[in-house]
Amino acid sequence: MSPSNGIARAAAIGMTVLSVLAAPPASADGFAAAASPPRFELSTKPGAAVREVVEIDNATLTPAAYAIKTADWTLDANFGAIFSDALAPGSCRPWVAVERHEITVQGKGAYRFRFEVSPPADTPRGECRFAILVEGAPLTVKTKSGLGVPVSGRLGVIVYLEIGGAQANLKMIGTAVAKVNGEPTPVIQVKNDGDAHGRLAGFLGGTDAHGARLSFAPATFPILPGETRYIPLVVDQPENSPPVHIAFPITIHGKLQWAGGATPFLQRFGP
Amino acid sequence: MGWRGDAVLATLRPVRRACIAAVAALLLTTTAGQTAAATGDPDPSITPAADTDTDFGGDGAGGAPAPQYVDHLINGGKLAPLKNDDGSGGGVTSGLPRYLRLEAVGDRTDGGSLYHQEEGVGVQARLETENFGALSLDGVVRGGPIGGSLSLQQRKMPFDGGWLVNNGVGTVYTPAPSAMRNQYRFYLPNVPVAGLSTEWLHDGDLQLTAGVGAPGVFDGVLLSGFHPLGGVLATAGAQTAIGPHWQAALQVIGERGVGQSALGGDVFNTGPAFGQVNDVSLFGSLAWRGTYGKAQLNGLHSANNQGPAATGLWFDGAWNHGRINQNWGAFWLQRNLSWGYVPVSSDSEGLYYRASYQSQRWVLDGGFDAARSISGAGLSGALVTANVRYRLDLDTAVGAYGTYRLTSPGALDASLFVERQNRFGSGRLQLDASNQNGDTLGRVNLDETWGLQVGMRLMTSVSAVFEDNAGVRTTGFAGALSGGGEITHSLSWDGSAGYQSTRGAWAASGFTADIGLTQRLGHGLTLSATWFDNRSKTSTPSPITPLIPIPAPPSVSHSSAVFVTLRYEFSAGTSIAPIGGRPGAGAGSIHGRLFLDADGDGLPDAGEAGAAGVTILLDGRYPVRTDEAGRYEFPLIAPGPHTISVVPDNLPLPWTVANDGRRTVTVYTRQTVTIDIAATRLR
Repeated sequence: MSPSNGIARAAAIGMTVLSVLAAPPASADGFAAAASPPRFELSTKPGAAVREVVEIDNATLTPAAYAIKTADWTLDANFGAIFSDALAPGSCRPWVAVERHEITVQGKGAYRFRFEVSPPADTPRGECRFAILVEGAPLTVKTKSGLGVPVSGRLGVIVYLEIGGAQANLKMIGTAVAKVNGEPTPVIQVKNDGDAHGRLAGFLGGTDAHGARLSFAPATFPILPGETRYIPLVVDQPENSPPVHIAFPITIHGKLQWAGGATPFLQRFGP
Repeated sequence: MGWRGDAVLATLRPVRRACIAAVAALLLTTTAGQTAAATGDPDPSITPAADTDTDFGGDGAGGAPAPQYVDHLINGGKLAPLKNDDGSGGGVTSGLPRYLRLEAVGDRTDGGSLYHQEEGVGVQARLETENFGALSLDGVVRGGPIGGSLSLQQRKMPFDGGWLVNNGVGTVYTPAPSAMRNQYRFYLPNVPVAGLSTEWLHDGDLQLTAGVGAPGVFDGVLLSGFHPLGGVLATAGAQTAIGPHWQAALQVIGERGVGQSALGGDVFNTGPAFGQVNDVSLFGSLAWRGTYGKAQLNGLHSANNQGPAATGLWFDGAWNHGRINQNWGAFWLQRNLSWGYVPVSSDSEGLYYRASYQSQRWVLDGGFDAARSISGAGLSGALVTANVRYRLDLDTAVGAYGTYRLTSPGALDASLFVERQNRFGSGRLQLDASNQNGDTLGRVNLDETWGLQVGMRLMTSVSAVFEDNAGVRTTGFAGALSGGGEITHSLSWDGSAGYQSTRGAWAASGFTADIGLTQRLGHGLTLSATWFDNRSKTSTPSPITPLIPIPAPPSVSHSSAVFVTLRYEFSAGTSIAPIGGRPGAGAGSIHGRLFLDADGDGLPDAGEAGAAGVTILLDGRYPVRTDEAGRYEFPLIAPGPHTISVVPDNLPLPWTVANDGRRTVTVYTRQTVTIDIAATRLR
């Protein structure tokens, strides 16, 4: 799929996602949980256990029972997580222990839930990634064909655990101009040759074909080890400002950074 | 390579993205097998709903379900649940929102000639009612010359027509229109009184205020007590919209027989007062507010029996658009200006301008202030300030700031700094220099905020100082650290310590330290104690003669203080929104009875039975069922017109309701409307 086609689909799908989130999820009545923090980025050494607490809040007025379990996950092309209950090859979930399999949280209450990761002493340098899933009680909804399907509300907390000093090693291998929400946007293709996930950051600037000086920042999507991803460079502007229409070509310069690395950046985008 | 997630997220501001990520943590997923779903990770949280939809009814993986993995349990699943941060196991949600805090405090400060001791108890209680606003009680009982205080306040009590009312009785502050409170450059105080206050607000276009009582002062370290000054005070005012962007405000305050402050000195601090003070002050303003800018012209006139009357005029303007914020103004304030018996800025005229700019990398701000004494007895001069901070990258920032005071003598202060994230945490190196009338000072300061494990914090600071005061040179060193953290789950500490020493003619040394411990006792109880100690030794320059050196004994001072607080806190309840309204906005109710009108007169007679189990609809969408006597009730509905109707499906035959019993009524705040509905026999 070309970046432009993908982005055009993304606008429509994005609207669908937001409308699903905004509308009362009738089939998920009773599930209104939140987790804090929404993500863990931890580090440890081989043989050293890490214990953390995730707070699970029940936003409803009535007590709610949740099933809690771990899952493996991957990111799809849209940076959406695909969870897998089954143990993935090389999964580190056997190192993980959770406080309990089921909890009950009082209405408007919170539960401080503990989990622990114990990498063996002979664990090679790398990154352990898994998710903690919080699932509500299953409900049954009817499909268009009239069949009842068990459905549950669920949220996932992603855990990244760097072991033995694992780090990302990001390399830019290409550039493009693609439509992001209908707007031509500079994007860069980035490969992660490291052994931990990485996220781009940094201050970038450029002057477009009409002489407008713009500031950019790379979108902070995670790039997993061994993966290659397209990352948009987003225009930095004050809140409530009208959208910026970039006049291409534009040369963007600055420095890209990630945890454990940095590289100077100078690229021309557009015809 | 797809772009769907990119495209959605790339159009969102970072903050909004984070919010959506938190909300998006919930998606519907099938309960079996592999599925795509949002996660707590902000990035993958915006996930195409299509993935979820296509997985409905299937395993999502397109194959046989994989074997279920069962997680290990910590300690075999026998860990006791952790308590919440407040020590409780979860909040109580039943009932209206309410809060209670009780505390007993004691403190003692011993500074040689200065000794202060305070003991007392305080209470704060708050209850958010459905229909009478928020009620709060604040009280303090304490020993010593300063008495206690007690106030009962009612906030945002709703009335029909868009009115909200604030009332207070007891030791309260006098009310003031918002144009008087929201000042950019000059502060106009609210005056404490033991009395009454009221404030009426109407949809942002009208505000009425009034208050009366005995004026006084609040004082205390941990608990605030009220001490009356004698006399009586009255104030009243209004603020109203006079156009789409314009507001005008007027407030007057007058006092008679105000005595001396219990804290010493007269109330005007301008010299010995002549008996009791009688005064009157009048404030007025005209304000304009647009999309990006605002401007306000203010006037204040005060007169009292202690000196000549005084007038003040000042103007403040602002323009905030995009990354640039600007403020400017001018002022002319005669000597002895006051608001009631409280002195305000006076004997000064001048102008100011301030501007700031902020982007990803730059923070720039600066300003110019010029003022001079109208009477010539006060200070005159101008002040120029400039501040710049530039982020070289995500880890490093550099900056400088300086001020130049155009007074006699003039003074210049300048600083350069560099901040950097390092392997130990976050550091900052700063160089300061100043010069005033030939006296110079230079200082090098290195601060580090150490990156420790979650729940622990430590900051250190070291500095070296060089001073030259008219040829007398002094060098010095200072070091300080502060930190805190959890010792156990229920016990935490905070503390700091600092030492400084200077050598030379003005030799001095000092040590200060404080340590605080907080123990959560459970059930909402907290015990905290803080100890503070300060020691210093100062030597003044000795006259030097070649024959008789005169040793000057060093001046030694020592002060210490102890603060102890035992606190109980409790909060519970949930706000309830009336049907068609929002919490706290006021509500009325509708109730009545659906009865079988045997005699057909339309009135419920004693022998006529109720129709049980019939659905009554409010506004066609909110249902309730009648009880065994045919009664129904909508206890909380927003003020305004509402329609009641009957769903006649469950009416016993041969009874029916004409036109579905539809009735439209207007419900007012705190009003209960009775609507009895007659079911008639089919003929």
